[in-house]
Amino acid sequence: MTMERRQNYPYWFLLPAFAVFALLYLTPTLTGLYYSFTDWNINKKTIDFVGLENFRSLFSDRKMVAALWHTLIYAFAVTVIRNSVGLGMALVLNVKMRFRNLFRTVFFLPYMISPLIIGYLFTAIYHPANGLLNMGLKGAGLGVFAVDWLNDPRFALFSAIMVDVWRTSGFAMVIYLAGLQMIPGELYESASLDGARFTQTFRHIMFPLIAPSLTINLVLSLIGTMKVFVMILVLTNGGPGYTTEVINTYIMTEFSLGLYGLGTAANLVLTALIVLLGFPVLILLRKREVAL
Amino acid sequence: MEYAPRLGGRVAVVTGASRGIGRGIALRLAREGAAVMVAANEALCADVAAEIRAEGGRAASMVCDVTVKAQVENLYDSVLRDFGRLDISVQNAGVITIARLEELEEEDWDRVMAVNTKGVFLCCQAAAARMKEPGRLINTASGQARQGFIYTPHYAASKMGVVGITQSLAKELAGRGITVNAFCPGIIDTEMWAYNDREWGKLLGDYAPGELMREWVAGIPLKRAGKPEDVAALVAFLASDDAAYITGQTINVDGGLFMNCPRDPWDPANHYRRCIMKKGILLSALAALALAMFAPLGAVAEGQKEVTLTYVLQNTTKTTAVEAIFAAYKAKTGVSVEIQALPAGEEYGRLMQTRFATNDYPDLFEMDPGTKQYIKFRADETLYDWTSDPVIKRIAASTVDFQTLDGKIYGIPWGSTGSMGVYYNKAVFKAIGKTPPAKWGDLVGIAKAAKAVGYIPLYEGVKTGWPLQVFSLAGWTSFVDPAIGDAGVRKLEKNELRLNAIPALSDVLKRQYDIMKAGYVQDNALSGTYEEQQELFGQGKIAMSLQIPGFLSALEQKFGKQFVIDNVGWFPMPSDTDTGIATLTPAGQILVPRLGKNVEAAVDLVRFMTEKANVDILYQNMPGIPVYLEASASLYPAQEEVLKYVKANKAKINVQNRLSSSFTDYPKILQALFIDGNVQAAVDLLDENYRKTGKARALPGF
Repeated sequence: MTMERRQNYPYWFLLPAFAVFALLYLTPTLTGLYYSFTDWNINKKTIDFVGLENFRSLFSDRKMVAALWHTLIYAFAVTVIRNSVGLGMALVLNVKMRFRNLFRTVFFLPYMISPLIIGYLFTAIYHPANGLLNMGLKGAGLGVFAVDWLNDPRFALFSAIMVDVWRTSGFAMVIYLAGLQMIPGELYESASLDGARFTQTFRHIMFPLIAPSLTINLVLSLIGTMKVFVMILVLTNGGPGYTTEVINTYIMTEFSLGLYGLGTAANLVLTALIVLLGFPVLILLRKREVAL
Repeated sequence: MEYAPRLGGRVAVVTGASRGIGRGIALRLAREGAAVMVAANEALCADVAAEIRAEGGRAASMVCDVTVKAQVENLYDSVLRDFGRLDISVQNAGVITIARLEELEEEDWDRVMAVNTKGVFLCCQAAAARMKEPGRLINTASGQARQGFIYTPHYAASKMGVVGITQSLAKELAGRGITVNAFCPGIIDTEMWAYNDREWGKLLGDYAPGELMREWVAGIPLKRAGKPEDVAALVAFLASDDAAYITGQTINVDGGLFMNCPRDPWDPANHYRRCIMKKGILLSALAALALAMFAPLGAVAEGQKEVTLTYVLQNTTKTTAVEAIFAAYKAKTGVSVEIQALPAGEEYGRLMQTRFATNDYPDLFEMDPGTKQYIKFRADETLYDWTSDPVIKRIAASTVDFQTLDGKIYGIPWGSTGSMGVYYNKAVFKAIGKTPPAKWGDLVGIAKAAKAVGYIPLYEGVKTGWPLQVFSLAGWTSFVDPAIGDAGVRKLEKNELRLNAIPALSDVLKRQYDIMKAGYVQDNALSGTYEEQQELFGQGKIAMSLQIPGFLSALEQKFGKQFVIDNVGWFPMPSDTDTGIATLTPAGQILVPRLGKNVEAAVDLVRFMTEKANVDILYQNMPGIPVYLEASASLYPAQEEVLKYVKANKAKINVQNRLSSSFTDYPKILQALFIDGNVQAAVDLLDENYRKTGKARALPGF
């Protein structure tokens, strides 16, 4: 009998990848951590340690506080709507029907387009006078609903949220579809033998069994949307006034003033926020995942 | 015996002297000792003058359209002004077009006759009136003045006309000792002949470029095409004392092409050969294919050979003038300049700062006015220092002052002074029976009256350019300046006065909000754009526009010069008691990064741009109050109104250009004010941002 000998690759094979990781990820992260406690500024020759000064001025800045709120609202709203819509589409497209694959592809397509391009597309679609949306509404006799989507402070944030929902729901759908297809057919069969209605099947079979998909979708969505930047920048640039200012547009303003220390500190706040929100959600959702 | 230059002490004018024969004549006359005014309808003439000066001669240049009497008069007046006398005038400006009779347009006829014949007449008239005796008028005719050639009836007529003018004037002016002669160049190797070769070649058969010319040259007894110098030698002779006994003559300078021969020298045996269509099509298709394949390669190869400068400006800036100037610069130096237009407004400054921070320097760029830009870009470390450059001598003293910070000048002004204020539609005012307001209450009355009959009373752009800022910045000079005085502004500069502690400022913002709340601004108060504003204003739907001076040239571009002259008026923001103080926007500036790749070339370009001929081009395209001493500029009535305030000492520079820190995020602050009406919050935020920016720029006192 010969013993099977498994040859492991030597650890130093890791080195090239680690070097790249260290250079491009670890170094900036760690130096960023340090710089957020300094007064690094384009117009100053020296960089001095200032302790918590940056964070003090951040949280006393009403713009930053507003940006924080808008980021949370944006993240929460996009996450909830995206997942509801994505799950709904997945349920519909899980049923055998004509053109099913075509619909799946089409719904997923927006996710393949750069958010920057989508932002520009929607500035045109949302245009108060010549935009597709308002022209459609007026054509359908719903002219009263034709508002100035991106410039009316009441609707600007909502409009931006809906663009992101449109862009990413297809992605959520794909993950839910994958989850739904993992569910063995006999479970449905026995449920239908027991006379379960669709709602009961959904509640007791589908929903618990696609829990891993839900976890992935919610966590990815929360993290991704809190980092929102390009979409807001292109659609509203934080305006009108400060009604759609989010943390990343705030950071951009600070950076362009040359206040790198303060900008880095704001970035650290965003990172902390993502970790603080993301981890509990992850742990909570993991708990209710069931093994098949 | 001493050999004096033949034309020493004489002063000559040469028109059409930017290229070809005219250029050759100008250079030759200068080498013979004459001071030469190099005139042409393009800025390139400045290069010829520069070339003469570089050789040690005396020369000036002027852009002049010989078909416009006023410009011609101005040209000859400036000769007397610059050189004190006039002895020789060479009427050389000429144009040609080539087309079949049925395709020859009336405009072609008019244009060719205007330049070639009327232009000669106007110049002779203006020159004779100012000429020292013995004077010399020398006119450029053509071989076509001897015998008309096919497809150019207008050109032949125009040049035969020149001979007529020459003979007639020779008789009239002989008594004053002025001789008048013409010359007929044959085939001279110039750009015009390259055109002739191409166009005639097309119409006469399938000639390859140069082929027709070669056939013609083969028919010349001296067996070569002429050079501009060959022609210039004849002109120098006619201009000299040696030709004192020659007048009314038309002399050929053509290598013997024309003699008293019976043969038509224009007609080498096989001119009228037929196009071989099939072969022609096949060959052109192959040529096009080859071009398409090799053009990109060629472009790359060329790019590597030549220096290309990058010139960055805001994408709202009209580029006509700089494009013309850069084309002239390329013709002169071979250096091409690429224009990069970046998003305008606050972003523009941020983008440039970011480029500086990442060492991505453009070769030169336009920037908002004011020495605060020096601080923003840390001029002492990064920008080219112009303080002792000769260019500074061309700039008006007040502008030099404005550009100076701690005795240093880093920015070369570019543009004109104008006003940020209320631009109104005169037709609308007439329709509602109103005149510009004498005080604030009148402005409200005008807005009310305009609204009552369906006009948009007041429009301010929000999404582009200077969103919502014009009202309060124009209001600053009429309300805030009188309240805090210059001392107050100096305190602001040193952070000794808080913006939210100026009641007059809060008051201005409240007025702006109240006007909006009363429905006196456009419906989309939070999304109006400059484009829409210009459109609606031009259509006569807006009574008053809050705008910056660039509004005028934008309107001109869309609705024509006459519209701006007839319909656009201007007034400052009125105060409670009088018509108010005008808010001046200084000329922008060009900055050259010292750390750029082509600093020397960029500096040379700036020097070229600020030459008289080129600033003239600038102001032709952007009428306004010029900042260059020698520049000639015309003003719109709206700008003349601004000038009245300047002269009456009732004008102040936009406060943002007087302060080193900035009203950062001002557009958003004002939008927020429009949303919630909270004036206190607005001034608090304004103050906070102002101090934050001052601190970020490490200004003393912050």
